[in-house]
Amino acid sequence: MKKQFSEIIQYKGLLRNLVANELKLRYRNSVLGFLWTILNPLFFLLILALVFSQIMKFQIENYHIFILSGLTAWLMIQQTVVVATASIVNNQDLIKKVYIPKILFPLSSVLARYVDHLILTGVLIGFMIAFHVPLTWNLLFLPVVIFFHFLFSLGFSLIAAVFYIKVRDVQHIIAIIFQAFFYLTPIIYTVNIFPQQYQKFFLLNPFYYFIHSFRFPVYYAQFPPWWILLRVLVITVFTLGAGMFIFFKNEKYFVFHLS
Amino acid sequence: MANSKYSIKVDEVGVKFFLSRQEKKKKKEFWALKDVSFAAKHGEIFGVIGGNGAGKSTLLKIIAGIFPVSQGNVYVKGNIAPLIELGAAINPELTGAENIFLTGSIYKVPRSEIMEKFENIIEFSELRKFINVPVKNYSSGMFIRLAFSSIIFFKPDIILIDEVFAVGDEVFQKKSFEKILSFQREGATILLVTHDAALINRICDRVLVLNRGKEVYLGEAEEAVDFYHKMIKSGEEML
Repeated sequence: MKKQFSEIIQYKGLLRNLVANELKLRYRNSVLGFLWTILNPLFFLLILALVFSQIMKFQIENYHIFILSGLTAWLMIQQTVVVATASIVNNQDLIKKVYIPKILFPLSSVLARYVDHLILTGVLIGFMIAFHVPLTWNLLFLPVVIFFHFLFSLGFSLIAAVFYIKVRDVQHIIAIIFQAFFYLTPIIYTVNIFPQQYQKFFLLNPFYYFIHSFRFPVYYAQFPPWWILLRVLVITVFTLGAGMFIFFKNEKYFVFHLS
Repeated sequence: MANSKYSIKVDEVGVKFFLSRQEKKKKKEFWALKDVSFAAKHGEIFGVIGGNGAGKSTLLKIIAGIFPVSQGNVYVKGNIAPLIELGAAINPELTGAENIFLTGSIYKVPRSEIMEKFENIIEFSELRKFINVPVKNYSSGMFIRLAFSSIIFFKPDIILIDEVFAVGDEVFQKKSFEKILSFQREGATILLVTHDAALINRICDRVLVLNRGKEVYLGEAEEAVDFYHKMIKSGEEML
């Protein structure tokens, strides 16, 4: 493990270039360019807000901030994992021809996504100001929460990337899992809409804690409850640890699975 | 390996591939290399010769760290410039200039050093007019010139060269070959893999002959080439 960490330091110049290139190339031939980073989730937000507040008649105060905070936290995990899972396979030409520490590909992919997520978080705070949602000191805890989202999605991506190299069906399976969990996680609704005896089932959902830890300082203007933060910490440590273990154990053999 | 006079040391190395998808089935395994040992000294031009499927490219790839070894050990001292498949590091969507920085960072060259060599690279590649054009719009000759120039300027300790060394037109080929030899005079080790016996004879000090993954001869260039020719004639080398 020590070797892998010192290699990341040695290759920090490459890491920076990979992140910069990914951001640069994504919008090189588009007119609106980087604006799409924000426009895409905002249109999604608009649709969700219309459907659930007007048609489904959800009664949640400041519903757009409620959704946007949940959606931002959700995208930090979902969008990142979906993209980073394919990062090794997408760079197979390079991996087959030169030696590069393999971790750089998922790592740069995750980092590039977090540039987007930070921008979206900025937009969220802009919305809060525009709609007079109180800004409290609790917001200062948000970077810590985002950092845990980052570590968790990195760990998740490492595991998914290893399986994706061996079996390409994994990407479809992950897409389906995320689609299901988007509705199983209280992102667009609160758990209160369910009868008391069913609410405890949400506690089995690991994403629940991440969404909640993000939503507390933003929407509820409160410091996240300790029991939630503790579970975020445990899930993150476990996922990242497992991810690094599986990834570093298999990285030597990746080249044999690439075509 | 510390303070050793060798920059590449290959010790009873074997590389195993699995031909079937199920890795556990033992019978389908195939040894691309088996029990290969040699060592190349600092500043030596070491040749590897053999027919198709002899394991030459596999040998280069394990030295470059692309393939893992299944048995034995490989020791490498210093920076490697693998001219195995030129342009491996090039991203066609990026411009020539951006690619020079990308390639440099792939070989762990600090940004300051890349900036220092930037002018020399552009000069050598003869691409000054096109350096801010995306590489996807380059001709194949321009592409190869960029690929070669952006690797070779970062003072490699070991240069790995695969197969017929074809870099653009004849003039540029000669120029790049001289560039490689100039590094060798400064102490870099060159490992040349080819089936061109004449080239091996002309520039190599010592030569390893491979046949179907096995080491069959290791010695002075002239004798090794003789051995290789005899081997071909006697039909020893079969596929």
